[in-house]
Amino acid sequence: MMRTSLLIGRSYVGLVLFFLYAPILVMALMSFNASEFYALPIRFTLGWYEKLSGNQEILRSAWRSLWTAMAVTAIATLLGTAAAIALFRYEFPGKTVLQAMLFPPIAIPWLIVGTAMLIFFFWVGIGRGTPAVILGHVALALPYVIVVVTARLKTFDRQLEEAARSLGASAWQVTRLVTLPWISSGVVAGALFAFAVSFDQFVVSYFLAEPGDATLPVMIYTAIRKGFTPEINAISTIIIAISMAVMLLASRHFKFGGQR
Amino acid sequence: MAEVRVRNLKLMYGTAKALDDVSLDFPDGQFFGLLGPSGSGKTTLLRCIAGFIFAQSGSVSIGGEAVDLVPVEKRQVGMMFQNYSLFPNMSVAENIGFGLRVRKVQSSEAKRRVGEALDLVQLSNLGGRRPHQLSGGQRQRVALVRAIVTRPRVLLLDEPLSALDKALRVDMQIELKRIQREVGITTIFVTHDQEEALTLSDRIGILKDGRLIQEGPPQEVYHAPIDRFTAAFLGDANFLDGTAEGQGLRLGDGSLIAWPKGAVPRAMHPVLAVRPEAVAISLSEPGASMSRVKGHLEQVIFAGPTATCLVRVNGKVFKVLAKNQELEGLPAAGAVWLSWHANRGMVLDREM
Repeated sequence: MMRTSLLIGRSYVGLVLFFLYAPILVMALMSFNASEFYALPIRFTLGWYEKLSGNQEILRSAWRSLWTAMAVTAIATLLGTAAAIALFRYEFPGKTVLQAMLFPPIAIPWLIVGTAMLIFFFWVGIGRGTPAVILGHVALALPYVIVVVTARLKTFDRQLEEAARSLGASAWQVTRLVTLPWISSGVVAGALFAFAVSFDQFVVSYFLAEPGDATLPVMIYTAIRKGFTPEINAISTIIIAISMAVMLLASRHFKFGGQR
Repeated sequence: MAEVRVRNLKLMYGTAKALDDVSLDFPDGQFFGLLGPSGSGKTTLLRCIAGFIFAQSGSVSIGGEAVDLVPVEKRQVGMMFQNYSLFPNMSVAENIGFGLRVRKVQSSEAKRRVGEALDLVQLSNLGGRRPHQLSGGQRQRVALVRAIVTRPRVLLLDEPLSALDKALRVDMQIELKRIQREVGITTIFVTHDQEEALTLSDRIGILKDGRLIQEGPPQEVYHAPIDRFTAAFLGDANFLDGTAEGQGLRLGDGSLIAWPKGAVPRAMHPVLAVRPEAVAISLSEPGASMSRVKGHLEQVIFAGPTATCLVRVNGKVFKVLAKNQELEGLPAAGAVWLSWHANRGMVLDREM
């Protein structure tokens, strides 16, 4: 009896993993296949990666994606951590409403958020372009950072802050020497989330970027419309490798409610 | 070192009075115990002095300087918390040196003072440990010296011993008192443990419902409580109700209990209280010079060197704390006499 249920459980997990990873695996394999038409058996080549390294358009957009994501990570982590600490430390009118309003943006479809941002940015005069993309990404990433850092703060004993203050530490010293060291793993996890949200972002970037300076996901989408080449498989494989590495790091730093 | 003065402190939480016009002096260099049941306002008062809470009116001064507008970090107070609140990301030495570090004390000087602090509590070889590697008593000591290494003007202790088991607690009481004497720092100590307050304090203050009920040296407050609450809260007490007459208190059964010498009750129905240890129990009638009542022994509760006898007097239970030899010859139950020296009676004038 026990054996059967164990078997069913394992097969189920196997199926889930297969469902999640099979397409990615196929894509990754094909990026190493010499045949442009995905002919089997696979003949190994690094040709597509070589070709990719000569493709200025893709490299430019990859570079743009990378530094956009880093700027977004820096801004969103700073603002999000500060916000989480403020929400933890202080009581003020409307705090509950504010905390509740952090969650809905995570659930609103990006298509809608993107449209709304485009309209808004034109209305306030920012328009499209890199500043708009960064602002948009920060807005998307911020709730993730706040939620992750707040979760970490829940395990923090606020009497430690009182002890530090009674010993003569200013608010900034308390934050730097006592609070931040405790929540650092949460801050790192939040930063990695912010990076992932920005680096993988397609919809909002598609709406907000100028046609000339597309980020990598937008570039890939445009390229696919013109014609699908294994070069795209190659760059997609690289993106997935980076994203998965980031998320693995995030999950190492931040136990999602369970043990590592 | 400094004297702390609190004047007319008032603090409301909604309609609840957390502090109700509290005025109190904490003398320089003395150990002051704030005692009261939970919700009495003792911790609130301590936190007002520390600067974590700001009262709605009244003032706090330390060493003659009003600190009402001074934030915690500038008040130069040392505080020790109930759960020690050691910084988990720092070593023992770093914890102790924290206050010096944030005050930008020169590192050689800081190192020397941390070393001295570790010596003071005999933990010199544990400076490199993390707080979680220490025992409860060791954490306690680290928290204590961390609070005084910055040479604060006042040391505030918020139920610092309540997390320890009984045996360790007694050791720590002795240690705490020793260090306080050695450093000579004005210390304010919050506790709900009356024995601890009596043992440690030079003076104690009793709080109830945000009000200061009584304040003075432990012996004085213990032997001359102002009301029924204080008498019962600080130790144990038996109460006799009656009508005031010139010579004494006329009880319901007609007998007269003489006033203690010098006591002139003002209330119409004052209460006379007697501590259980002041009462003697006997089969034969005591001399007429003693205050005495008749009663019926109902139960003897043995507790090693002493025993508590429960005696029914005029319908109420009277507690008598007796040494074992006093109980020899007494029946397990039956009619007995209770007597005490008239001066051991305590007149509780302020009755509510």
